[in-house]
Amino acid sequence: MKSLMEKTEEQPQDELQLVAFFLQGEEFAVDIQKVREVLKLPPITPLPQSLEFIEGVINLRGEVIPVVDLRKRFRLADAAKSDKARIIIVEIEEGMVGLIVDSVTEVLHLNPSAIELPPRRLAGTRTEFISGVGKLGERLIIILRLEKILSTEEQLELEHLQLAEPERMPLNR
Amino acid sequence: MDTSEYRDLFLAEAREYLQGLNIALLQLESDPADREVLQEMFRAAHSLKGMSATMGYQLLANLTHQMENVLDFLRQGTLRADRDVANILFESLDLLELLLGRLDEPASCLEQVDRVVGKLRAACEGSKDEADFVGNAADGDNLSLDEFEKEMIRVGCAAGERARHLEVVLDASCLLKSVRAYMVFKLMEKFGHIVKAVPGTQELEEEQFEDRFQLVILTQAADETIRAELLQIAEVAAVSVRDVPEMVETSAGLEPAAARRVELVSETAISQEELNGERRNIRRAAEKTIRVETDKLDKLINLVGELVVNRTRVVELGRTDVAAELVSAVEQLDRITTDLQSAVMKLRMVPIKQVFDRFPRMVRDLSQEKGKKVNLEVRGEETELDRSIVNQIGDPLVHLLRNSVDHGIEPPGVRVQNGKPEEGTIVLEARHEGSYVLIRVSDDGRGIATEEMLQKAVEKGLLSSTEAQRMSDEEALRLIFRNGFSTAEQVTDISGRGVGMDAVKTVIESMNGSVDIKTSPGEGTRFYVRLPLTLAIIKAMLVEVAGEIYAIPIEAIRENLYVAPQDIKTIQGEKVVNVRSEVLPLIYLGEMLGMKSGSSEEILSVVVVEAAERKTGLVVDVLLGQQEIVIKSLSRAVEGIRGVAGATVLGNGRVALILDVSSLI
Repeated sequence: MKSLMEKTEEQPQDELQLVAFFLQGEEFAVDIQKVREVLKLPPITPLPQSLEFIEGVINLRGEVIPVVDLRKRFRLADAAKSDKARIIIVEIEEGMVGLIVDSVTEVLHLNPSAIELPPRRLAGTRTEFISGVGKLGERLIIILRLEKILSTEEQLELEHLQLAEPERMPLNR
Repeated sequence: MDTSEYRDLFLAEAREYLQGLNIALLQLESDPADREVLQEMFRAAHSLKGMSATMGYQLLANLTHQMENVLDFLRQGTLRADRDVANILFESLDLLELLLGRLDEPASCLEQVDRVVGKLRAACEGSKDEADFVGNAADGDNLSLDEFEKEMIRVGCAAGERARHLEVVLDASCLLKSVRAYMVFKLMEKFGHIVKAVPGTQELEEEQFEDRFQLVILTQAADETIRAELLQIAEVAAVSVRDVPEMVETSAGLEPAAARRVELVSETAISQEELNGERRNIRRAAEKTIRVETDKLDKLINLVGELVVNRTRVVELGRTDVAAELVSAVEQLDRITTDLQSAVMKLRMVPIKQVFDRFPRMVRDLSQEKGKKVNLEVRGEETELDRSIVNQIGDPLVHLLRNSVDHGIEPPGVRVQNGKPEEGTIVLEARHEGSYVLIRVSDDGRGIATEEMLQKAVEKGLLSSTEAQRMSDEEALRLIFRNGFSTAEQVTDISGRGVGMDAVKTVIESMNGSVDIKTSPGEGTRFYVRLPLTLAIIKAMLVEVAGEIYAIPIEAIRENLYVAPQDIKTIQGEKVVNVRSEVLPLIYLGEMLGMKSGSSEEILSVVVVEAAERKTGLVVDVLLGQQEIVIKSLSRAVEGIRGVAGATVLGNGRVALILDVSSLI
């Protein structure tokens, strides 16, 4: 009985729920609160003269939504999309955006205490996009920060200069 | 009470009242004796005051309260609605609008409010002496007695006391208002009992009142004694003592919502008696409407659009199946969805009245400022068109009207000399024409001399003199829309925002509309603005480029051509083709969009488009044909891509981009 009580106390309200996915063998996750849905890849209409990492636009029940190829965004090797590939529709400040990932694995429950601040550079991705690294047993899960996902390189550089000493970004929760 | 969630509703309603007041005031100006208009204005001001007080916007409440006083005097006939009074009232309306825009920082308008309130008071004082005014100002508005208080008064009266209604006005500069209020209370307790205080004692203690408060007391002292004693207290500016209105009527100030309901009921009663007034009909129409958030509406429209897309698929499936049952069911579905779609699209339609309503006021102010006499006739204000068009058409129309007042209508003297009536007339008219709305702005002014236009264009280097000579009158006239040719040289309130005639044209064309001008020197000028009924659906030509489908709005298309490769010439590195002795520059759409284009060996398909008076041929891979498309905006994340105006969803569920011709060529 006592252990049961402890367990419930150990799972307080602020436990994070994350949608986990793979990108070139690495495990990533985004806050489930921001996720609207997960889709199989629909036909994507290319957007000419747009940012390089924008794959195009899709039709989601009548709404036209831009889609970001996360591989391109993080400058990972380009790979043919398998049928495990999915689009995670997330809601960010600019509106709804789709993120193309290699595959979506599961919904994770993570205690905030199991999340560490991001190291300076990780897996070749910029730390601007990372809010922390979660530990789940042996697994290391990179938790994405979506705010900057549509910013151009120039905007990111600029921000870097303006934040005199960004030392350690506080966990954005 | 937390009123923040009612804020938007308050704003919308307040703006409506304000608009109504503006219109009524204009009517009043032309007929100062119109009692019905006065009545309506009084009611509007009264409702505004009540709403503002409920929401805790004291400055607004104060200002409207003073307006109400003035209107009350006008209504009673003790004050005449001359131009000065009208101007003060107009000024008050402008200030109200400003205040509505700055609800969160009312302090920034404090001075202006003080000034205008002062003017309004002065207007009242012009008709009555001050003591009377203070008395009248209160007029039982903020006073209502509950049963308990009434009972107290009855008991008191039976004991030989009299119930007196006091209004105490403190100096505007008074710093310790609660202290003064406390002193007034102390003093009154010497004379008798305080039955009621408005605002309540707690608000008074917390200084939650402007410069005045009201008391109901039971006393045996004479009015003059009370008045004199109260005026002894420092910083008490004015005191009025009068009868408590016989067991007070309605509870106006304290429960405005309830009071308004009462008012509505009584209005209904009146309007049934005198049903013929047009204004009332409009009001009744307004009562039949319901406010819906535009987001919700757009969502509905989106879903219906989806339904229509799916319907098309089902209809196609139905064609391949021979089962008669299915065919008729599909036909039924087809009909219903089509009806549903048109019904939903109509929800977006609003009368153009919303925009037109602000023009009489604008033209009045402008002509006064310019020393001209102008009568604005507004027709067809009930014409409906898409909400988003209504939102955008305001600025261009402001400019056209301004142009007419500024440059069209002559000064009164000149008009008389030319044998015209002293007062110029500008007609603003809207009407349906097929699937378009035509808006006409015409004046009976001096017209435009095309020779002068040409001369000016040559001076400004927009034309060479040989070009000018070859131009027809119509072409010359259209120079007015050319970039860099605005005739408005002086920077004025309205055109100072940089809306030249070229901008008028750009805005209208961005809505897939068009603008044209006709003039006859000495007789006047007419502007014609043609707008689509809705922005949500347009006719477009679908083309294929590099395997992708693009939509080109039909408004921009002049013709389609097939061009043989050998007919293409190169002039200064640009590819052109000769069409009916006109040189047409070609743009390869595929290259332009950074796509790999298809074959270029055979005959080329060319869509000739025109924007900003420039024709260009767009080379595409395949012409797919015309279709009505539903316009969807691109997400904020990717908007502003050059050459792309938006997107649409095709029958197969795929997204096709809509090209923005003006930024492509």
